[in-house]
Amino acid sequence: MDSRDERLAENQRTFRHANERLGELADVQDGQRIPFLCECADIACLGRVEASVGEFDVIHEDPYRYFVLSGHLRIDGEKILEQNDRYDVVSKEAL
Amino acid sequence: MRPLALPVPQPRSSPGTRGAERSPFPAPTTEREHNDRLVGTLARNQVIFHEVNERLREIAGPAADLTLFVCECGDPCCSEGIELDTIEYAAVRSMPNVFMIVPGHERLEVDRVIDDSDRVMLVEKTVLVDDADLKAALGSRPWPAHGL
Repeated sequence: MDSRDERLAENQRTFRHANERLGELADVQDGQRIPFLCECADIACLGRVEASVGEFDVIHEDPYRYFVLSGHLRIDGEKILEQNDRYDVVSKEAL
Repeated sequence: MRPLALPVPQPRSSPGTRGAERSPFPAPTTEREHNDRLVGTLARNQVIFHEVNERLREIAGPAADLTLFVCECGDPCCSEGIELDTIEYAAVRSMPNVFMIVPGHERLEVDRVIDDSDRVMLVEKTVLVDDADLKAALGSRPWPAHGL
């Protein structure tokens, strides 16, 4: 991974950690969607991914998986594993 | 002060040495470049956790009594929280360039302490965030001014 991609990956890790904190502290009912941060590689992105804590947990059980808004900045080589009308699930496993 | 989980700069080769002149590798990052990057990272992280708190407040709703917010220090691994009521939170957010952190989490590279109490320390960011979207996000929420 070159230095640009490393920096982009660092951006994604920061968003991921921020979302973990958001999921921990949000006082919501089971299944209720909350506005997570888009985990794309653009550090200036403040996009909203509407998902439940359960959905977030399932996706993030795999440390290489992130959810991003469709069409947002990704790192070369990332694969889209799943798409729905709210977000794309991407994997960096091959990188 | 707690160390951040960020890379430590490597010592720079002495200028003028034959090894440095002939090295096939890119020049190592200078300490100044490293510090600039660190400061930028700290500032951006603060903005991201500021946004997390905005969303926590949104989820809690206007009728919430006390809400547990995240510390807005620049450490991406910080897991401490700050409990504030709606009025207190609004007072913090009435100051667009001010962040709330757990006392002791200040980073003087990017922070100037403007208020301190047992529960929360308020700091003003002293460096510019050069991303237009983030700057807009920082200044876009019109909170009423209240005393904290």
